[in-house]
Amino acid sequence: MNPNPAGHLSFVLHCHLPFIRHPEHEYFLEEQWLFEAVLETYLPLLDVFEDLTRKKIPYKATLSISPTLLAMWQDPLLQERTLRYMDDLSELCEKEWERVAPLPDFQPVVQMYRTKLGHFRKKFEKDYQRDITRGLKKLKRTGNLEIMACAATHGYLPLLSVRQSAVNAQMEVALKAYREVFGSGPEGFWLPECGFIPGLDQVLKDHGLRYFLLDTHGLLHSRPQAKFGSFAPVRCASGISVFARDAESSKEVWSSKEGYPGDPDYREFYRDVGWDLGEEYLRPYVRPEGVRRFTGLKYYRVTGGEAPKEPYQPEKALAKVKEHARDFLFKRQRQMDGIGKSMDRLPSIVCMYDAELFGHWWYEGPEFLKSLFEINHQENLAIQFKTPSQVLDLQPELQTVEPSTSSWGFGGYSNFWLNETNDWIYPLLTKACDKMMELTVLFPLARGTMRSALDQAARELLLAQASDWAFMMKTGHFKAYAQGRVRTHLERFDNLYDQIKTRRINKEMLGDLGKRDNLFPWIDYRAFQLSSKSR
Amino acid sequence: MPRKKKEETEKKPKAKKAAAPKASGEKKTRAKSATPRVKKTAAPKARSAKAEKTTAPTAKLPKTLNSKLVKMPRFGQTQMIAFVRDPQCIFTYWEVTPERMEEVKRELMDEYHGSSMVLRVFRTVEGGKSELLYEVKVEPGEMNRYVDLVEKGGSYFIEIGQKTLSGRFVPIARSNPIQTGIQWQQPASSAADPQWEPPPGIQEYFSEEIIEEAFEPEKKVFSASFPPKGKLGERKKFNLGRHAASHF
Repeated sequence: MNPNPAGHLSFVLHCHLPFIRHPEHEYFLEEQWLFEAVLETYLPLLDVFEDLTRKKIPYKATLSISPTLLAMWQDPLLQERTLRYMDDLSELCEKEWERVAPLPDFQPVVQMYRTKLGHFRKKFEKDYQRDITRGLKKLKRTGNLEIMACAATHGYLPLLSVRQSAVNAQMEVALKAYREVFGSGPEGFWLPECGFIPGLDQVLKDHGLRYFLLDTHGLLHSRPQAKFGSFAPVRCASGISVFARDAESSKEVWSSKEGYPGDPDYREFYRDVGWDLGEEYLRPYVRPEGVRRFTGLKYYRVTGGEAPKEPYQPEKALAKVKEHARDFLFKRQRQMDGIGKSMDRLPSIVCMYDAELFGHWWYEGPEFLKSLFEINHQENLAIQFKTPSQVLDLQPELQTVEPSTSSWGFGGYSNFWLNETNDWIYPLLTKACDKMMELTVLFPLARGTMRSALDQAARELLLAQASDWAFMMKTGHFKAYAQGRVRTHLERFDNLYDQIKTRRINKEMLGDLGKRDNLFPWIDYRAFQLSSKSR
Repeated sequence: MPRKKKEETEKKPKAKKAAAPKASGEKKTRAKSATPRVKKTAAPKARSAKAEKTTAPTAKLPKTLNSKLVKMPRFGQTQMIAFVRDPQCIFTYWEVTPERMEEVKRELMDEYHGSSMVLRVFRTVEGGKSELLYEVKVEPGEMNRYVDLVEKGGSYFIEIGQKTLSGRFVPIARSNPIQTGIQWQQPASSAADPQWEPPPGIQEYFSEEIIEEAFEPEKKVFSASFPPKGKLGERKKFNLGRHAASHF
């Protein structure tokens, strides 16, 4: 380790997918998102950390994991379907290997997929026994990987906060979900979409959390102004600490035009065999039947400009990864050297991204992450990778500020989740929350079937609150699905509410709902009570 | 001043007659939302809990007031709820039960004829007092509105009530109090404690360009099953400015 560090760098990846599970269908298109993310992001990231551990290369990284993702990772049906997805893809890949035999330009990329598919399938089924959390727990125990919690169903808390009980429930269930998997903790909390309004810090503090993260302007417009901007954590009056995202490093990775992922040597996302090959050839591998979709087998590189896409060359891409990793580190160190002159402490740079960017959208992303740690170690650079908790342990006195209302969404506030495409959901969600609160008062100590019904009502309401639905309505992608999800969960909730109030529970219906929307099996409906619990 | 983003320009009202509310899933229409005229009147008087006579405020009205007629759900409960969309925009929805309207009619008696429902936007000032910023007429059947604010940041609440031709106002429902935060373009407040005064290096680093970067649309579309529109989301060309890392 370099004895004269220039600063601390925290790499934080937020892992989240909405709860999508349709046991009533043999194949369901939207479930693909999980399978793709497992194969292209989560397994490769774990592979990176395990490889670094094996090679004794020091690293510190932070993952935030949503409870819905934890639930899907541990669900036997979805585990089975993930394996089926991998097997289908492997079969297609073998056929492709035969097909590209006379095409030497494509053999390296197809071989790459064959190798990776075999490797990750074995890891998934044998090493993790289909449960990714096994791998995570092992890595967490090394002390190199910090895991943050996130709201129960990724509810966008600033807009749910018109009802405190909605926020309480998202928090209570979130922490319970975390401890069910990881035993104790967490120290850090990822606010969905980094959505913050004053007062949420007190809620987080009341639930025993040590820090949370905001987008850059959350601190740049704090009251008073944060002395060191986003380069040092601060403390809220409530006592909880907060970090802000570094804007510069964000752009270098996120931007498709100026950032690394758009490099001509990197894999082109959109050119997929699922759109190129014949329908009959693909038919066994595209389900539901006949619906063309991305398969994950992509053979071309970005290339650049208007030129026809060129075949992907894995070795060339890997070389570029190392170049970009070096560039990233060099810029971070320059940032630290420059800003450090104005600070009485080492600058802290927090790089926050959606995990799915690494591997799924930007195929070379996991290798890039690995290279950061390798190069930093091999070249003994002055950057110290730290988790946010470790940065806090090293801080002298923290400035006390009131962070600004903010989010990391478009516009910097709540616009993306509250506009004419999705505003209709909020009266329904608010009313449902009022009804749920009413039930917690009417039935403070429910047992048996009544308890089951109340717990299921809580699940349905939490599922309706997921910020993903409002997001999809705004983007227009999967809008109908998102609208359907909100309506369905609220209808189920209303049915249960009526049955509970009249004390006429339809056990068959309840059982069916419990099998479909089966996350959080340990849930306690009293999470929706007005008073929040703390540790 | 904030740069006009596409979303901001899209929310300007169109001069179109409102259609009757349609079933969900059908196209929504915008209500006619002309900017009300501001009369030169005396400043608003202190508001009491009962019906009162007030005059229109002299404060400048916001540039846009969007409203729409959408089939919002009815819960059989007189209420008003407000949400902060951004430091210059509040979304509010309300419901007035027939029973409550009958009460208002009885209270106003003959004065009910010619009266109209209005929204009033209040800002909470120091000492817990409230200041009426402006009021605007509610369209028949309207149940929600995006309320633009001229002021950037602050604490607000909204009231809906019936206003007579003589200026008498009967409040019907009041929203929850909300805090809209600080608009990012505002200069951040200076530290009261000299220990925490930002050094020049920090002030220079956080130029407007760096702050603008904070609002870049993140890729959030996880849609590997269909060709998403555009490549990895559109990113505008971004110049870091002279104080970015490349210039240290």
